[in-house]
Amino acid sequence: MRFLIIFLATIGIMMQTSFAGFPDKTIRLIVPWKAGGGTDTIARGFVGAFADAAGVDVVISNVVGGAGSKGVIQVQQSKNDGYTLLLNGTDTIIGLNTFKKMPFTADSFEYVGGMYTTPTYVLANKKRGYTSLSDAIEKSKKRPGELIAGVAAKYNAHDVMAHAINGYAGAKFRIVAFGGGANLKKAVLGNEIDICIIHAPVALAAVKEGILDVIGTGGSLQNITYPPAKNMKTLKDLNIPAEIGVTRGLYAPKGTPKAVMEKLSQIMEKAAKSEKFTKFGNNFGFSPVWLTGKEFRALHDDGMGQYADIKAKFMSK
Amino acid sequence: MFEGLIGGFYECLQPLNLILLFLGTFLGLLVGALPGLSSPMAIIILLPVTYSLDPLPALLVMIGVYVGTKLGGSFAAILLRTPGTPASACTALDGFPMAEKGEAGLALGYATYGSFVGGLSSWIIAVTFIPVISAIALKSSNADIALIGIMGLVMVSAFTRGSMLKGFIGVCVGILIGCMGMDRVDTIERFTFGSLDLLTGVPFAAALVGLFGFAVVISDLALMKSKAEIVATKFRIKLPTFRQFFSRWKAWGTGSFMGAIVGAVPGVGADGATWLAYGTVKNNSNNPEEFGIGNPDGVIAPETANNGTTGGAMVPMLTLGIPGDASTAIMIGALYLHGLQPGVTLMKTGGDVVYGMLAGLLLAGIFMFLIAMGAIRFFVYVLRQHRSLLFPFVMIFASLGAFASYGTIFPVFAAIFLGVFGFIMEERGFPVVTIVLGVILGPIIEFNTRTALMLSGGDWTTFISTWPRIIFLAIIIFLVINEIRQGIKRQSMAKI
Repeated sequence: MRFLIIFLATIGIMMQTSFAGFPDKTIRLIVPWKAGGGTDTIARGFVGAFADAAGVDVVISNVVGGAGSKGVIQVQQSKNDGYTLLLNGTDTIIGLNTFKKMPFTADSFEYVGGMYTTPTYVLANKKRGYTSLSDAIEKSKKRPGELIAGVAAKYNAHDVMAHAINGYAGAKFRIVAFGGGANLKKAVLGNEIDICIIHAPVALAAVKEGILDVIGTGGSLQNITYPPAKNMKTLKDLNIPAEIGVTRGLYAPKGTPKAVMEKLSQIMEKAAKSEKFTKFGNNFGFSPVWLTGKEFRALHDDGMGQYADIKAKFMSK
Repeated sequence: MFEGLIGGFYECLQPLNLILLFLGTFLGLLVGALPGLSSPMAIIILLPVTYSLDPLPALLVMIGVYVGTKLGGSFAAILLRTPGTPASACTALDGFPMAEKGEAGLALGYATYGSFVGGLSSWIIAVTFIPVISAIALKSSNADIALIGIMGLVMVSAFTRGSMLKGFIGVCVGILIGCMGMDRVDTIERFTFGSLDLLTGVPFAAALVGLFGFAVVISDLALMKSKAEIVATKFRIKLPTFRQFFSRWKAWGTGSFMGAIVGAVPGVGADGATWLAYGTVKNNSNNPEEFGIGNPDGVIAPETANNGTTGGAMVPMLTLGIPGDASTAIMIGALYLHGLQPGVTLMKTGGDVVYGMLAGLLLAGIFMFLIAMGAIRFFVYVLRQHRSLLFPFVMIFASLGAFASYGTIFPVFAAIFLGVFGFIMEERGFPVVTIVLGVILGPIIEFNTRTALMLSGGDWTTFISTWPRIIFLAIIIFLVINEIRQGIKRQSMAKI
């Protein structure tokens, strides 16, 4: 028995020692979306601060395809040594698992932490004259199926929020997926659609210029760097029991050693709170946040429950 | 506006900015000339290097790369028939036959002149008509884009020599290949056969280097021991004169106009503009039968259109924050990373950078012209070597290009498969260019048609609900009727 305890203690000390130097080589962050998109831009704003905190080089790889699933799967199948991480938003794993059969679940990863939270908000071209989301909802009821709610893609946070608005508030929007945020942004700027449901702070410059209005939000806009939008009514204020948004954070493959996870968490916290990333975040539109791995994971559990509920009630046809 | 531009030129002409712009353009030409490597790839790699620079110098490097790759891609298309981008694939149609006839210098010269004139005229149009270009970008809806795509596709006759039926089958095969992967509208997996790699579909880079580059190598293996007939045997490389180039005003005029206008339409950009310009010039030519076998107009039209899209794509990016293509999408991200806020307020909050970028666009075109004219001799020299030396390099660079597109080995295998497939198809008389056309335009047409119908609630009259759409449709109908008429005429002539 004594031998066994000594043996296990030795193994434990050896493992601790082997991770003591972590990280000592280049860390690869996989972004499952194409370069130039929202998540990619946030990743590139974060990578400098993360590299500074880690003391090693950090590179970004865009592994695109399959509505984000390809990059997620690649990380899932990577060696769990902490050198290959996924940088992504919460809605990919939640959405894909709710609506598609995927080889991964929320349990397939370890959660390092979250650093950038943005709710999904509702924009409308000023020419449409909507005073609020409630106003747009009422008008849609008078012309069922005629008013268009644009979303970037099917089965993502935007789509779920559009269905929640239709389902819970009795709105009658026709939901159209535009195959990407850039197309959707063009459609709302060009006054082609009635409302645009998209991750904040997309098109915030047009809001500041008075071309677009923020008329509703899936979650609190308290962290937005545009004061007039801070107190915008949320879905819950309109008696729609949903809180929709996305938090970008880091995931590691399942089974990544605890010591490595702790170290990664420390590095990430330092980076998320750094002046460099704060400056980037404020310019991008939102102040960064710091969520621990546990909190970041909890967002997935909440989201899964919420998406499943909305799917069952309003999207099962 | 004018004062802003003067200020922009003043900033660009600062020694450091000028050097960076020059280096970016040089790098762009080099990257573009390597099959499969593209402008977005180069810009994203350069992005971290530019973090320490001020916003304007950083963006000038990217603009240089953006402009340079447009022409560089055509060099590979002309000399190796291995285009690096969908836009430069069209240039291979007449550029490569010219090179085979020993007129590589002429083809490269026409491409360089064309790119320069296309970039210059598009810049003038874009800067003079900023509100018009912005409006085109904003108002072009899915129905318009679908019709522009169909217009390009019905011009398939311009890309086929011989049987129209085989051309049509080629397009259908291309559309089928383009269908593979997760569809953008319903996120349904199509023809993926359970493969994770195929979720993204067949990569463009793999289709291009495979169907063009690898297929050429396979078909020319028998000539392995001979020298490439890429230039006339005499050492002097013949370049076109300005007079020769400007006499072909129909080609460069059409290309410039199409580039500036179609380039502003997000989602079509250079990929569509080059094919449309080529098809229009061929259809309006007195000698359409000379196209596809080495007509200089077939090089000039797509090349002017290709660089002509730079102005059209840049203006909506700067004024509205709407990217015209993948490169300008990355530049929007770069603006954020450099502390600016792209979008409608950029002109106000970062006017100096905007005007500096516009000035840089013009200067990059001049650098591109000067570097390329100097480099033609070098490229042709390299291409004069034995095929036994050349082909391994073509295969290596094409494989590297395919690999770099996704960072995995899958596109390389896809390119090899498509190379063999393209070779067999071409041997059987199916022009591979029609397959490529289907791969490029098929997804654009499908996605935009479906979205247009969703927006209209399934009402097909949306395709004739505005004057531009009626005109597009009329052109499509005219082209189809004309083609049928000519087909019947050819058949009756053959019987006689």
